[in-house]
Amino acid sequence: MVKTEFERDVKCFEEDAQWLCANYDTLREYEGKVVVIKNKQIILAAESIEEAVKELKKRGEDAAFLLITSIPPKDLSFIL
Amino acid sequence: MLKIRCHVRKFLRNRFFPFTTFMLKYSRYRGFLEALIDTGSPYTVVSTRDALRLGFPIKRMQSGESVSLAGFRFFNHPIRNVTLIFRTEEEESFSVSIPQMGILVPTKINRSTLNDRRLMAIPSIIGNDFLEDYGFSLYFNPGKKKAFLLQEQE
Repeated sequence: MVKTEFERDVKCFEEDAQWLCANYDTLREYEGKVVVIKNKQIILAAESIEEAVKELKKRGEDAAFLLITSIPPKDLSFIL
Repeated sequence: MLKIRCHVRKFLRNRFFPFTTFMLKYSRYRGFLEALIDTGSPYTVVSTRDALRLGFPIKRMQSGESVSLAGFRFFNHPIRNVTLIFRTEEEESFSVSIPQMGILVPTKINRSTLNDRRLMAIPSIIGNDFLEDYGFSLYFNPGKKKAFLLQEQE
């Protein structure tokens, strides 16, 4: 069966989210930073989302389709 | 019964929270989101971080209901006719057209707020409105790191 581009992309995104789940504890060095995950690895760590998006654009990547998250500082706490 | 995939990961204070992934389509904007499923939130919203990632012009979106979240003030800027596409446990797509959802736009936008690590830690949220309007219940077992959204047939 031929997979559509959407199915491929969403699967990659889901796999990156699963990778984040499994490896969250190893990402403490990125505390307070914005990290970009692609193909189950950190491809960029930036000080801000603006910086990350700018750098991704330079690299020809589309930020809208990549898993970008921030690793909250350990002491950060809030009730949503 | 329809089951939407979720994943459970650490988020705050080393505690586990339920998240789901989906594609958002709105006007010319589209992209993937990872959202916290928050039954305590009355709203489904795109976070400021994700709004910037998807290229929303947030400086021109400073309108809407004023809301407080995690110590910050936001406009819950409404966007209308949004499509969300989820993945089910059966690896199929499940598309929902929602009449309105929000974008969290800080009431003050400047370099300081956009660089604020606490603000940027706030994720997009699937809120109670979505669960209620589309008949979903959340199964969440943080101890077993298991979560899914279940839509039961009437």
